[in-house]
Formats: sequence, C-alpha cells, structure tokens
Amino acid sequence: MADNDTIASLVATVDDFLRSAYDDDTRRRMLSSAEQRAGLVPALAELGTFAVALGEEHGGLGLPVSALGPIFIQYGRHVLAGPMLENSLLPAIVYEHACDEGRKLLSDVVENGSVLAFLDPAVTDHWAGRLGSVVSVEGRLQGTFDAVRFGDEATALLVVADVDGRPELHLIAPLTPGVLIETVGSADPAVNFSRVTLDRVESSPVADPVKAAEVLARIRRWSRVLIACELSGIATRCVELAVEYAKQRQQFGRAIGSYQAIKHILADMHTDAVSLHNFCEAVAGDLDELHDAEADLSAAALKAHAATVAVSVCEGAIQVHGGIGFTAEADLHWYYKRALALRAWYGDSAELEEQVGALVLDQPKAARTVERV
Amino acid sequence: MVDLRTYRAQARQWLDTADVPHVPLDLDARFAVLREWQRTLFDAGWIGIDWSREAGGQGLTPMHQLVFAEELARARAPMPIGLIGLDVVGPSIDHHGQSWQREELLPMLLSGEHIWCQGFSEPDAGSDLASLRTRAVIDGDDFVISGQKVWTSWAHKSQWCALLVRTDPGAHKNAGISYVLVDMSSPGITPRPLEQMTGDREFCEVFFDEVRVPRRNLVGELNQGWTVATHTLGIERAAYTVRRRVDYEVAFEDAVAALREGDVPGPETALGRRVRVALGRAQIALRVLGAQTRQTVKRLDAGEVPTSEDSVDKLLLNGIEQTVFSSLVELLGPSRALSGSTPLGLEADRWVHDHLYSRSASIYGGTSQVQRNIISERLLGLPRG
Repeated sequence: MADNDTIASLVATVDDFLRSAYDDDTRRRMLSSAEQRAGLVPALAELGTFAVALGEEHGGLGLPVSALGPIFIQYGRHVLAGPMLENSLLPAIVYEHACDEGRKLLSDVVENGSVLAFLDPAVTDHWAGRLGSVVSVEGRLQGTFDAVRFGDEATALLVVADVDGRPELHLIAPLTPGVLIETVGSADPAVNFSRVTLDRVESSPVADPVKAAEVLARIRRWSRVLIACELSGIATRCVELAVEYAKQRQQFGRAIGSYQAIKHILADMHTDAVSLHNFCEAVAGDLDELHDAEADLSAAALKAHAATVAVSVCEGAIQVHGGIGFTAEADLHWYYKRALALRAWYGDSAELEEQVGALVLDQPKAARTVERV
Repeated sequence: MVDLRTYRAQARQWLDTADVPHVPLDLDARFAVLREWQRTLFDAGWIGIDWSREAGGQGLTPMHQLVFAEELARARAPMPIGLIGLDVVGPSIDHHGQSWQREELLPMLLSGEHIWCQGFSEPDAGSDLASLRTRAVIDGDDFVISGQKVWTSWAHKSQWCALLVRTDPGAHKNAGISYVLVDMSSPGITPRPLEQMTGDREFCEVFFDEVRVPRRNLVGELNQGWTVATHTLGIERAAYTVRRRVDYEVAFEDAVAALREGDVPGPETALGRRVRVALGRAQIALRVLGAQTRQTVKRLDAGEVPTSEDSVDKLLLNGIEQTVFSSLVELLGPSRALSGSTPLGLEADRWVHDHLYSRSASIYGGTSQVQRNIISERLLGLPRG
C-alpha cells in the first residue's frame, strides 16, 4: 500500500511536470524537431523518473518495475518525446549485473538524464535480421544496427550480441574506438533514429550467457508492457479529444455527437481504450510473479492488443474530427504517428498472435488458469 | 461467513467426487440431464449461493457464486438448467415479491422442480422493450392476459413464466407495465418453439389468449413492473459477464487439448501457422476479457452494480465470444461442412454449433448497438439524438 501511494504521487508529479514543461505549444515544437528537446530528459531525471524501478541499494527508489506502468500511461497521454523506455527500464534490470564502469554509465543515465540506447535485434520477429545484428568474436563486437532509438544522443549503448546462437549483453560508451553512429531520418515524431556500426569494438560481456538470456527475456517482456501502457495513454487521450470535439462541432444544426453514426464510433473507441487500460493494469501487476512462458504469453498478448486498439482508436478520432483531423493543425497526427511507430516496436499483432498461439499450443501447459477471484 | 479460499477448496473437493454428467448436444436430452444436475447441486447446497437464507439460499456473496462457477468450469461440469430462474426471476421475486410468492415458489425454483421462463420481448418490442403490448385487464380477482411474446427461452419446458404486461394502456411507455407470475399450465397459453440456426429449439413464441392469472401473482406494485424487471436484469448483467468468460475459457482449453492430441503440423507449414495465429487471436481476446472482468468482479464485490459500465462489459463480451468461436471454427477448414468429422482433432459439430450460437451474443440481452447508445450517452455524455 505504501508503494501504491508513492506511485500515485509520482504519477501526479510527472503529470504536473508535463502539463507545464510540455504544454501543448512546447509539445508541438518538440515533436516537430529533435533539436528543440534539449533539457527535457535531464529535467525528467531530476524528477526521479528514471530511478523508479532501480534498486534502493543502487541509488534508486526500489519500486517494482510495474510502477512504471502508470507513468508510461502519462507519457502516452502527453505524447512525450524521448528515450523514456531505455532510460527507465534498462538500468533497473541491468544495473546489478554491470561492472563498475558500466554502473557509472548507468548512474549517469538515471541521475543526470544522459541517454541510453539499446541495440536489440528482437524488436521484431518477422523482420528479424533485416535491421541488422551484432556478433561477438573473441572479445570484439562486429555488426550494424540500422534502427537505434536515440543512438546519436547516447552516452551509453547496451548491445545484444550473438555468440553461436546465444546472446551476450555489452555495455559500451559511444566514444569507444570502432563505434560509428550516424543519424538517419525518423517518421516517429517522438524518437530520432541512428545507424550504429561496431567495427571490432573491444568489450567484455555484462553477464554470463545464461544470465544474459534471462535478463534479456525480462527486458523484452517489460518493453512490451511499457509500450502497451504508452499506447493505452495515447488511446485514452484520443477518446477524450474526439468526445470533446463531437460535443462542440455542429452540423445540420446539431452537435455531431448526437448522431448515432458518430456515437457508435466513440463508444467503440471508449470500449477499446478501457479494455486496454484494464489489460495493462492486470498484466503489469502480475508479470514478475509468473513463470517464464506465462509471463512471455501475457506480455505478448497485451502488446498485440495494444498495437491493434491504439491505432484503431486514433483512426476513429481522426474520422470523428473530419477534415481537420487529417491536417497538421490538429494534434491527432502526433498521436497517430506515435501509435503507428510503437505498434511495430517489439511486435505488432500479426507477429504476436502467432507467438501467443505457439506458446499456447507448443509449450508444456503454461499456467493458464480460469481462476480470477 | 466462509472465506473464498476455503469455499473454493470445498467446491473442488465436492466436484472431485461428484458424478459430473456428460452434456449431450441434443437439446431435449441436454435439458433432462441439466435439470437432474441442478437437483444434484441443490441437494448438496450449491444452488442459490448468493441468495439470502430466508429465500432458501446459502446466504453467501456474489463472489462465492463466482468461485463456484469457476470450479464448475475447472471440473468441466455444466451450469444447472434453471439459470433464468436462479439469476433473474428468483432475485426479482426475492426483492420485490410478496411473502407467499417467496415461500411457495422459490423452493421449487431452486431445486429445479420448476423451470422458469421470462416473457419480455414481443414481435414489435425488441430493443424497444417498453413498447410492449401484451395486455392484462383486471377482472375481479384476476388479470386477463392476451398477447404474444417471443424469444422466450425454454417456454415449452417451463412450469412458470415471469411476464411483463401492459396494465395501463393510457400511461406512457414503461409507466404502465406490470410484472406478473404466470402458471404455464393455465388455459389459453400456447408456446411454439422456434428453431434456431444451431438447430436447437430453445426459445419460443408464446401466445396468450384470455389467460386468467390471479391478481396475487403481481410482483411489486401495479404499473411498476419496469422497475422490477430492469433492476434485476442490471444486477445480473455483471455476474453474467464474469460467468460467460469462464465458459469461453473452458471451450478454448477443450479446443487446445484436442489440437494437442490431433495432427497439427509444425509452425513452418502454412496450416501450422494458421492454427497458431487463430489460437493466438482467441487467447488474446480471452486475456482482454479476463482483465476486464477483474474490474467487474471488483464492482460486484463492492455492490456497485448495476452501472452503465456494465454496457462496456457486454459490448466487449459480445465481440470476444464471436472472435473466439470464429477463430476456432476457422480451423475446421472445408471439413466444417462434414458432420461428424474431426479435422486436426477438433469435433466439427461442436465448434460449428458454438460458432453459430455466438452470432446471438451481439443480439440478446441488449444488442451491441443498444450498448453503444448507452455508452455514448451515459458514459461519454453525448447528447441524445
């Protein structure tokens, strides 16, 4: 219960902060251009948002990772730009395994809002390998990733490298010899992308392979859940915007929200957004207590639902707004582009439905259960 | 009061040794088996779990009722037959009825000796239920009832009917409606079963021709039947959502078990991939419903039902039932058309039946369109058209 109070007050703090430091005008400016975002991430670090799930013994708040869920819902509501996923999640999970030098890099991220970038080939399954990969050969990293979020701003890179089919985790500084980072174009208004090339970069792994696989599985599960939470915030906000508009906009002498054709779109949007919110809450609350296969299944199912629902809610909001919804004058396009970008990150529904089905059919019976009370 | 954990253990223990019946697909056989099963459950104290003791129930909570429903599902045991009576009519009589009605009618309702039906909808009063026209005229100590009802489940097998009738033709819409209890053996009642697309004859048209019903059979006040009917329907909706979820989970687990035993090819084949995608889609839908019903259970537990939030549940439930069964039935491929076939290990007849049945989900108990109107007007505050 004490945790719940802390989390509620954190969420309120984040919301207050974003309402003032990331108000409508500021948001439009920052989403229009990455150069406009200076200072935002350090300010969030100062609020303590990156320390939420980091252990107390490592200088964090020591809350469960699930505490990030409601905070990411706020990020979604505000269409917040920045490396929130990497900075909030990765130190919390990786810190305890890192060496002193690695810990320094991570502390800098958590305390000062330096940027952590993650080179993970598992952001997609169907396109596996097409975004690049890194191999580790005799203590040196070799390879390229074409889509690294915030690579050009990063002060630390967490790299997943393949060693004979097993994963290794490496934490390196971008100034390490052999690291080349090039900015590439981004159609996600909240993220800038880079191509990162590693040419015979000397590094030693963060954890042994068995541990690394566990750590990675946990990172990927929570990435799905937190992205789903962000999508949930986007969906909820889009319903609010569309309902507000439908009450104001008059056609044929009445508010368009009085027509069933509009009402039913909004009712479906609301139902979708509510279902996603409840699903996020349920999965985040349970995830760390579940067995691996069941946790994988939960996270994948949530992300699949979020991917479908958030995009369709945004599309409903655009439709309800009519012509203005299609313009860059209204804010909806930010939500929509953000939802579309997040839909693909760590799996869309086409990918994840297949994964969930495979888990159901092929795994020894996961702890699926009908008990809920 | 026994705590939920203990209650679950007791239920599980009893079900372990109970003679759980196999439920036949044939409707008449199914009815007989399920009625017998209700009697068995009643004798063991598992009926009317959340009813008051005065009304013949166990005096526990809706949460206990849910726990038992979950344990029934886990044991692959069916629900009892008399759900309309147990879930809706009985609680209406208990809350709004007269003492003789409670004393004389409820015990037989609980035991399954009396099956109840509910005469609400009419040919011209579907979603617009309040426009119903079946008339009851007072003549001495009796109502004389004439009119027609439709979609009345189990009318041809019921001993009693909870009937909505118009008692004040001058009053506007729902103001002149009364709720009366009708003995189905009364002269002048003719039920005619309608065949559903599943082949079942579960619901009926019911014709009332000058049927005399004693005035003491009125529930609540004269002309106040709308309140009686909607109050209990509302409460029931939340519990229904939670219970139906259990039904779908059981069906899904049955399908997965059959596929595991069957000859499903690996994920590298087109068919193997389709099977996994379909299962994934159904599983995700069930997870969504599971998370949603956690909130429903909280509302039930806190006594915060009925509310317009129940319409969100119902709308989701409708879509999810259809997603689950259409995903599963798709796995039959062309064998869907072959009665008695078992493609990939799935019994075609069962999944065809359940899939066809799922089309009714978005129609009965308030269509999905009616739910959308409720959500947009009462929850989102959009103006009435």
